[in-house]
Amino acid sequence: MAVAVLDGDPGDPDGLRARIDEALDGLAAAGAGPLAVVAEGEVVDAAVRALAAVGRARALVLLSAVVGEGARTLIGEWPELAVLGVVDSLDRDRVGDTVAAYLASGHAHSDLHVGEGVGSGSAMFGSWSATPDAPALDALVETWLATALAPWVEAEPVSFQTVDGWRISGDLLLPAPGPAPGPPPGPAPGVVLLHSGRSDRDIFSRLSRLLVAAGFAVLNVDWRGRGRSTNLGTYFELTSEQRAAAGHDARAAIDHLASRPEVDGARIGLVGVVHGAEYAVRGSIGDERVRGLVLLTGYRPADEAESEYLTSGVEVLYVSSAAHRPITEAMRELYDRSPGRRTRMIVVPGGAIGYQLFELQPWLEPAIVSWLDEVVR
Amino acid sequence: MTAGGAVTFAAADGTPVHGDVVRPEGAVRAGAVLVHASKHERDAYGVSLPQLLVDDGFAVLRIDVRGRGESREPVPFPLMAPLQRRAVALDVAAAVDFLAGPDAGIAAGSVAVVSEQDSSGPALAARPGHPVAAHVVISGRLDAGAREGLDGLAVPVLALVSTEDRRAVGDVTELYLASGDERSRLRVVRGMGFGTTMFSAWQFAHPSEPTMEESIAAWLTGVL
Repeated sequence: MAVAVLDGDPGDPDGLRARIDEALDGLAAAGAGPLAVVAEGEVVDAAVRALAAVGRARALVLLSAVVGEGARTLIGEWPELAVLGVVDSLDRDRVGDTVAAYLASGHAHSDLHVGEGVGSGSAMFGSWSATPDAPALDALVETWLATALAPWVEAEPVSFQTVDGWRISGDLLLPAPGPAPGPPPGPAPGVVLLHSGRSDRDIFSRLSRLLVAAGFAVLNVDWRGRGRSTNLGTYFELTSEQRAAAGHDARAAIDHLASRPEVDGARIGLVGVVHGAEYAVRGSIGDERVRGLVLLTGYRPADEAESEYLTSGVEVLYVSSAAHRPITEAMRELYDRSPGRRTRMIVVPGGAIGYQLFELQPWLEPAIVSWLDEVVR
Repeated sequence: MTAGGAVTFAAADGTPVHGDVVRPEGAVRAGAVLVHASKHERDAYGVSLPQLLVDDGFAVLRIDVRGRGESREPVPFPLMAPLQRRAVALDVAAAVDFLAGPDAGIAAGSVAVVSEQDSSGPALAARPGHPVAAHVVISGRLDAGAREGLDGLAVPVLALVSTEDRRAVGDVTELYLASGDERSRLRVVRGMGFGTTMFSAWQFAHPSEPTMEESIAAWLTGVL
């Protein structure tokens, strides 16, 4: 974790942007890991605007903030940025803006601490003492930052071959070692993520981070013909037989993940979206390493072998949209026949598919993480 | 359809934008820039819509917006901050100007922009040298940049959205009402999802009706 502290006179916007870039460059060059910014008072507004242009920060601590509407709008457009607001309730000039900045953030970990009579800005650290019920401010902020930055591990680019010659490209994310809230010691359970037909691994940007923060090793791939896995062509140029063989991509991903020493190869889960769900099932048949499958919309078994596998004891989380009646009925039929004690089915209203449900139902990704935690760990 | 091939050009801030262009074999009467959502790439519009447009005399440019597809480097879209994402407007502006360039044979003011989901905000905020003649917005989301230009929006707009996409329902309705052109249309469907994924969902659910691509092409041909 690396933290840049901004205070004082914001100066001109270009100058502040340059100061922030320089500070973040220095921290990044030192290999300091995910970056956070602490800003106080009148510099907060300019700092938010500057960070919204340069990116790179993953968490923002606002002390007694002055934040205008434009900066609040930017915070609202940045769901990946966690925001912690800290202010004194008696600091009437700053409490409204600090609270508004917190409320503008859509990040699940954003938070607010309001003290009374503790002063303003960084001076609050000296005044905000520990009580029997709560730690001192510096400990509060440090704990919050550790949790906010835990998902932002460095992604390791990987590639591996399938049995039919495709070179599959992906990102491997391993949970960070260390004290709480870190994962327990030992090899981590693994999850393979398989996107849908029009998309690629980027649809799992948030889910992959939630999983790694929960202690899973995550392999997020582009399957054949999509994203950067195009050595033998692009997906829409392939025949239906070539596409259907993408179960080999899922199997190769399972093999690659399980081969890593950091991963417990006997505890693997897969998340597949529409076509990705088909490939997840096809690639998992008969593989006892696979403890659970999340099939997110658009899946129907292609043959008896898939139906038999899904009703033989593997745990499955089925997610379907109510407007897709044939798909929902097919999933329900499998669900009803499943002996798995943890197999579940969720039907959401409307006709959204795959990653669209993540936007419409923000509880869904955390629910997937919880289910995988119960089934795969 | 005549294959025009792969193209690369620079946005106003120097960011390279990759895409492909197809032109009709005969005279070009208009142009269309197709802009995908951030979860997709330029193949999101499939083959049908580009083919229908080319058959109607349109030159069609599909682009990969910054951070996606061939335009992925240096910063992938999921890692971008808000102002970096709003800068997709520069990609769209550059695309319109590229398509309507001096050798394109397209009359000034004859280029439409088709956008989906979170690309619609930047598409509406784009300020190319050649003015945009019409917008097709599929499950569009408006951002602050798009809202700045809504007052006095004089070009026709076709807005498509499905009811469960509540945010887009509000945003495209606001866009439709802001358009002063009587040729603007708002089409609200049910249970079809978001963006270009609605194309196949609609065709599956309504096999005997015109496809969404046919409706879009017909509307564009009517207004341009």
